[in-house]
Amino acid sequence: MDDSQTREGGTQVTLTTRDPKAAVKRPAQGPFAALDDSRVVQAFLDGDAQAFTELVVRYQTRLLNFIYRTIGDRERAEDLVQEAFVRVYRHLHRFDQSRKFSTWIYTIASNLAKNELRNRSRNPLVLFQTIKKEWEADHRPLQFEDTSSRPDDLYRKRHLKELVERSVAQLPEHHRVVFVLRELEGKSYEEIAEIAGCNLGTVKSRLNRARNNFAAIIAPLLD
Amino acid sequence: MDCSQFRDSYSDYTDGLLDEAAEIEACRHLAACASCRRLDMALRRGVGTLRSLPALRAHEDFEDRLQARILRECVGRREEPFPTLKHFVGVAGAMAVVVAAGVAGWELSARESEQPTSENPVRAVPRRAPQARFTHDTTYGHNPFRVIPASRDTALSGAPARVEITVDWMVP
Repeated sequence: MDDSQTREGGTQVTLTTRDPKAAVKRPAQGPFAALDDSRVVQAFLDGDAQAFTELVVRYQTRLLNFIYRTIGDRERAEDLVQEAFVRVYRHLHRFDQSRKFSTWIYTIASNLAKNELRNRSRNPLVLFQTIKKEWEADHRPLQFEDTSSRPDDLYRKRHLKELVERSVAQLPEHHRVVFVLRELEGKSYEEIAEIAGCNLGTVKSRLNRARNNFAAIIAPLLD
Repeated sequence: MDCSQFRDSYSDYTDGLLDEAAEIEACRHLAACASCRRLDMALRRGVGTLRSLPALRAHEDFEDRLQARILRECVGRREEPFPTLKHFVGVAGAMAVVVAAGVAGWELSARESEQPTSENPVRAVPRRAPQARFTHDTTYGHNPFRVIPASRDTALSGAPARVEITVDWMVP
């Protein structure tokens, strides 16, 4: 997966301030669209607040999905993505620019997700809320998204979606992080090792177990 | 290759990391083993479904909330996200303390080297006048200490200016 996601357009936005008030205002068309992450980071360090906006635009959806797949709570995932960006804003001047920015920001997000899971296991209120939420999800009426398709197909599709999501959620945490980073985020083994803070051998071993477990969980559901 | 061996190398097989011979073995096993084939199909179908799910999008007010949070947490608490003059003043202060300690240490070692020894009595030199002296003086009531400015001593003795503080406990 590329670090930079190019967007159309290219009108110059000339803000040369590091004013936090301007840091997250999305430009209509950014001057950074064609730049890779390291140059956008450098622009921010040089005082261009709009460069931070570009980083937010590039990473908010990716981090949201990564954290959501790891912790399984959409609203909390969004809070954690915000926290990740706040930490990036605070500590970007300490970022070693010889490393990939994407690996760094994923490492921050991964650590936040791990902390969340750790705290959740210690907090009975959060556990209750999760159970309640799952109960509500199980008992809500079916919503047919596409009226042009047959209802039984839609039901099967939605059912499959829920099955795979539950199967991912059943993986042990350290297997799940590696699985999501590899299968959904397309990270290399080396990047995963850096993000998860373990060596290459551990990544390979965890990924193998995660794939085998995931397949074993979902196979009977798909028959 | 049996099922156990196949599953041990399954991840490498999926990522195409096996060497040619191992890959041929894995493919042969997969063709012959219904159980492993079922597992392989399940993984591929499951991952395919996961990848086809629409990506979650942040709420519309995500960026506004993020901006407010950055303002609150970085500016509201007067935290500077980047090194500023304040940081440099702190660093300069720390460096000044280190330099002062170094000078004091150097002076102390220089003074010790000036003491006469049995091997080299010639090295004995008169002690220089102190720049500041703390003395016990009961005339000042509650404060038993009095600082004698450096200039008075140095002016009287004609000694060169030095960075030196000595404490003389003088009981009247």
